[in-house]
Amino acid sequence: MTRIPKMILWFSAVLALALPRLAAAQDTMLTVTNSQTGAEVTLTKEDLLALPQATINTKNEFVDGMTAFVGPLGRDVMALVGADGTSSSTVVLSAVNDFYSEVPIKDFYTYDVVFAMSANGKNLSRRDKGPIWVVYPRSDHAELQDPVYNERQVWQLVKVEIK
Amino acid sequence: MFGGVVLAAIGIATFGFLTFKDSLEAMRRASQENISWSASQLERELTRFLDALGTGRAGTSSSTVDINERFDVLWSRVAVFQRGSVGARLQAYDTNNVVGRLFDELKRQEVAVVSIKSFDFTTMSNISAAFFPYGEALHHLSLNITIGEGVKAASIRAQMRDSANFALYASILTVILITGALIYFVYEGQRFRKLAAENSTLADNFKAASEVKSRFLTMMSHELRTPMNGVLGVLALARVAEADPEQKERLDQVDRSANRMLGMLTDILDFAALENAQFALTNEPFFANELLLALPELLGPVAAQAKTRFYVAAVGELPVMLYGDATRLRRSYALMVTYFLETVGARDIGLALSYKNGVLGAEIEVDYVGGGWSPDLVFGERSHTPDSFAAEALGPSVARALVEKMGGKITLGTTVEGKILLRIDVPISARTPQPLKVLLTLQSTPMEMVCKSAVAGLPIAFLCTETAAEAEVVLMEAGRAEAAEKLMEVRAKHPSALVFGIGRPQKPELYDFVADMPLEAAHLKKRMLKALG
Repeated sequence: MTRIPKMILWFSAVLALALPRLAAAQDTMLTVTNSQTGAEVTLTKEDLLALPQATINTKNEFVDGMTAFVGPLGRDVMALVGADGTSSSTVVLSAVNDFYSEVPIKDFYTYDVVFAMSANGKNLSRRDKGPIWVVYPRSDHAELQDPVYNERQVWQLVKVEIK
Repeated sequence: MFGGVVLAAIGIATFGFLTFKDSLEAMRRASQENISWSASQLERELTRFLDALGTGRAGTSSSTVDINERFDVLWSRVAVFQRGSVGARLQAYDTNNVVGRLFDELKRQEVAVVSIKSFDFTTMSNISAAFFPYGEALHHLSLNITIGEGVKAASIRAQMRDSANFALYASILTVILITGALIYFVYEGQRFRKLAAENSTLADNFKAASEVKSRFLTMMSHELRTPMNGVLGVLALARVAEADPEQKERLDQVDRSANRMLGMLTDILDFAALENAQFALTNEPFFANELLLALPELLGPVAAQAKTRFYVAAVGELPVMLYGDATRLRRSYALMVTYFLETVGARDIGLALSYKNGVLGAEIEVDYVGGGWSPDLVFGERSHTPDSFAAEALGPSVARALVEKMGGKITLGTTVEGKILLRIDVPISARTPQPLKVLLTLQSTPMEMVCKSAVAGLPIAFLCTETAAEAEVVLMEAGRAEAAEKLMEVRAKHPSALVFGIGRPQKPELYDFVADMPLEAAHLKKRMLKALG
């Protein structure tokens, strides 16, 4: 066996081990951590779609008219890391551009806050506040008309950290 | 005043409502998304995209992924300008269509960015050169939006300040108005209370004066009657004595005048009694037949003296027993008939009694000589008040006042023959009584006969020994020595019966009624009648 074929063999082996991991990292859509318990899960699009899907019809200042948003409820996603809304007070929602917003965790248990993945039947892309947009049912609750909830409707959500 | 306050309050409330609406609109505008942040985000994401391209040109391994990610984020920020109310507000500032041109540039460079390769420095430079000019334009746009939103925010604050000031002024004005109105109402209340007190004092004074007048009238008429009776007595003696016809005629004339004056004094007494607050009607049973018989007895002599025919009749069937003030009723009829006889000059008078629907009606039909007498002067509206009657109409005025006190009314009309037709209607209840069961325990037959004759005409069933237990009234002699013992025996046998004593008992309070001897027949009959009622 010559030296060159041996190097090719090693390179192939390293590549075979690294490629699936690289692919998996690229598929991750949302990372959820619970600093109270140290639990962390990474969720793909399929993982999120496997959760019960909720639909809320609402208006906000960034869409034209009443829009149907579909996705898992925020509290269902946070339950994957053991959150139940009682032992924590704050959730940090981070976007792809490093923007983040600190949200009281009770919001998710008081209202049906959705991690929306589609709007009016069309999947949200990164070029349009996707792939995950935190949406509050603002048309159903007068108190949610306050602009503070604009800040909490994080676009292009990539990370949820329960504190 | 009150209307003015209400109108002012409505005006203030309307302005307050409109101001409140303006404030709500201002609050809504103030609560909108801060679009300055969105504009600065676009500017920032362009810078980060250009930084990613710069990093790519430096040869970092993950640069193409990063470039694509930043490209997508930049695209999403441009998309914000195209939807929703935020997009509309942002575009209102983009008069040079910078964002529209940037979006066109994104679409033009999309293929190049998506297919960019690591170390493809030329493409990276070209893309960077294409986007670089937008940085300055976006900065100006961001600046314009920040300044514009600042101006709008100042306008909103000014509007809210104005609204708050107006609300303050309106509140102060309302407080002043309400305070003024309260002061006015308190003042008016005090004024009205004072007026009411003055009116009450005036009324009391008037009432006191009226009572003094009534008392004076009563006293004077009573005092005058005494000497008048003396005059009449002497006149009667003089008429009995022998006198020539001329003197006798003069004495008759004086006698008629004196009697008429006595009648007028009686009317004045009645009138004064009506004015008296203590005047009260009785409501006792009486027989309709007695009324029919009493009227000719009472008025016959007056009619005879006036050489006038007077008759009384019942029209239809009258109830056996009526309930009311028989004395005042009889007096009303008598006053009217007397007036027609003595003043109007009646040739013929008829009085017809009828009873229908709880009303006892008396129609007085008068055939009179005529002349200057006008019924309206006495019975018309002009003479309605007690103090506006003609002197000769004192009797009718008293009669009318009595009838009105009894809840009745007097109406005047004429018959087809031109006779006066005066109708007196008085509401009176009626019933047919069951015979009163009376037991006589008298010692002698003559006494029994005297008592029976005293109550003759009343519906009474005298009981015999077999039916004695049903007695409602027991008549017994009360003047005997053993009367007290006998009374106890009667009370024991007839516990629910009334016991009337005849004679003069030692303890009259033990009896329900006592009629002294010689028998006070009228009293006994009246008490028996009451027992019937």
